[in-house]
Amino acid sequence: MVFDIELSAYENHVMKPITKLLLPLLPLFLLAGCLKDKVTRTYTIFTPVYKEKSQVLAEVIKPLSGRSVHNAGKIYAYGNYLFVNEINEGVHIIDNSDPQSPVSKSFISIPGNVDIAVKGDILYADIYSDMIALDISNPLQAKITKVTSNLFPERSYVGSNGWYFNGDTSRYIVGWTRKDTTVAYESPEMCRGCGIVFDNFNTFASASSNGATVGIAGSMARFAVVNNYMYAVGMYSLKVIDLATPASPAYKKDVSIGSGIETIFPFKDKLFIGSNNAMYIYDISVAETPKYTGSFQHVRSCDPVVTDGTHAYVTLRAGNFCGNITESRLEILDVTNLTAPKLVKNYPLKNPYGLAKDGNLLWICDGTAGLKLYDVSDPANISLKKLISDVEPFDVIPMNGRLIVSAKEGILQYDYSNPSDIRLISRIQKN
Amino acid sequence: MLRKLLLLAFLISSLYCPAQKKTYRSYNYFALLAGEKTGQQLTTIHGLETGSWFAGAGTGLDNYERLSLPVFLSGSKYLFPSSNNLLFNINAGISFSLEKNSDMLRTAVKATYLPRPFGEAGFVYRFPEKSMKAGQGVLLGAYYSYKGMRVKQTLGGNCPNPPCADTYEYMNYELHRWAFKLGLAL
Repeated sequence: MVFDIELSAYENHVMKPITKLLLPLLPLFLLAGCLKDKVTRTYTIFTPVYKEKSQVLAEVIKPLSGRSVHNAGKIYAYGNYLFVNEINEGVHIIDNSDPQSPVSKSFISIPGNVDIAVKGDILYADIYSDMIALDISNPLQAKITKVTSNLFPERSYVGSNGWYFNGDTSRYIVGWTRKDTTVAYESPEMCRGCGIVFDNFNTFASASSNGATVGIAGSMARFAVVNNYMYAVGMYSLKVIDLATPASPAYKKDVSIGSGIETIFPFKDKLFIGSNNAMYIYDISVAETPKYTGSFQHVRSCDPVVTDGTHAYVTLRAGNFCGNITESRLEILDVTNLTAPKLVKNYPLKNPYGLAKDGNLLWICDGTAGLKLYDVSDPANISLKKLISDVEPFDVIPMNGRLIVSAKEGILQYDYSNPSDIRLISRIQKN
Repeated sequence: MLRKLLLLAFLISSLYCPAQKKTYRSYNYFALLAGEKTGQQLTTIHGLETGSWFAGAGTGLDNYERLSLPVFLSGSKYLFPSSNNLLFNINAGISFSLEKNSDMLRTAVKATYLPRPFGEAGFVYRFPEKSMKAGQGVLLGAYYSYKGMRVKQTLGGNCPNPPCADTYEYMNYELHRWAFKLGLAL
């Protein structure tokens, strides 16, 4: 009752005046329709800058004395030399005879280059959709020995909106102009009319290899040199190139594989090919005629592969374009029966890229999570031996207890001859 | 940032009418927000009142479009000093988004919400309440309110040849609404 009286007094003194004022205010809600929110989207349009092929090739044969590493890509070790791809710009040739003090010898400008391989004195490099062979017997006076045109016709660029851009293949793209633009936002999916190409352009052509008479490539490679042949994966196929005359590579054939082909790893007379939905095994005992042997399907993701002949190690990287897995991981497959690889076990990872195996040790570039060393003597129960967390690596090459790492920070070399005492021995700093 | 705003509010308030008595005052509102969408807002403003002027700083929660935390300076003037009931109020500051993962573009791997401007201007009527002290009362107000928001989207393209440089797109929001506020002056 007391409450009623108090409430009644409150109504008399406050609520009634409030109600009186509220009533005329309420129609103001009708004015809400007069206000419009503005939502816009700001992005960068990249427009290619072209040059005639003859003009670009003339510049390729003018190597520069060593320049600093800005954006290190794939790596390739050959003898005492280290070849480092400067993404979309060219190749650094580094004298690594003293790993504690590597010396940059020269830089060969190759626009659009992302992959490299070496046989003898010949460097093979992609130059957008073409491939060039360069005589580097004198790294300061490289000479083009052959240009193979349109070897990678599917090379294209992916915009941030997921749309593809195919360049004019009669010329080379030597740069991009950028322009920020703001448009009305429609929906997360839409931007159909937006520009030519957005950033994060990348390539589907590439290179690398493994083998005694050639060099050693990282697992992210898309070229593999095996004896007198080079195998290069494009987006859909395996390309066979005869290197019997190294200075004059001869394209032989395309072997159709599937879609989303990413990496190639040679092991003895087999090729292990990583695609974004499977690992394929091809037999190259008849070198010019790769023969499908087996495959292992996995969920769609980005994945390089390495093998020791009994097990294959595949890292699956999650991410929008990489596929529909939510958690990145390492898959270990039993490949003793090459026609029917079997999954041994999965292990979670964060952001994996390249990997390499040396005996019972497995190095994994876990991107933002660092460089990891695992003991894989028991593939069903591997253990993390070492985490180097102050680098963001994406590919590695192990060589006789020494590890060459291509990372966001530059090119690093570690001595892991004693795995319990891994030491950084040199760093080619990114500038 | 908040410290700077409070310090600035204190300095501003200390400049006003140094000869007059300064009274601590807080304004606490619940608001219905109406524009293209609807939402709610809770704010609390604290400062000093002197004569017919008030200066202070405020913060709160605002869930129009996306949940955010506005931090702002506030200034008010009673339009009829004889009654001190109708006041004009301006709030200006910054809105910090409390969202983490909304509005990701299809190709984005990360969204970062950036602080953007926040501002309001409106009229408030104070209903004096007998049981309250002088200057206190129930408040009813109508405002125009603006909230900005910017989402930086880190895009993850297909990157078979890493490392690929991070690229970004921005979603820019300019949100205009009416705010109908009910509150207490304490």
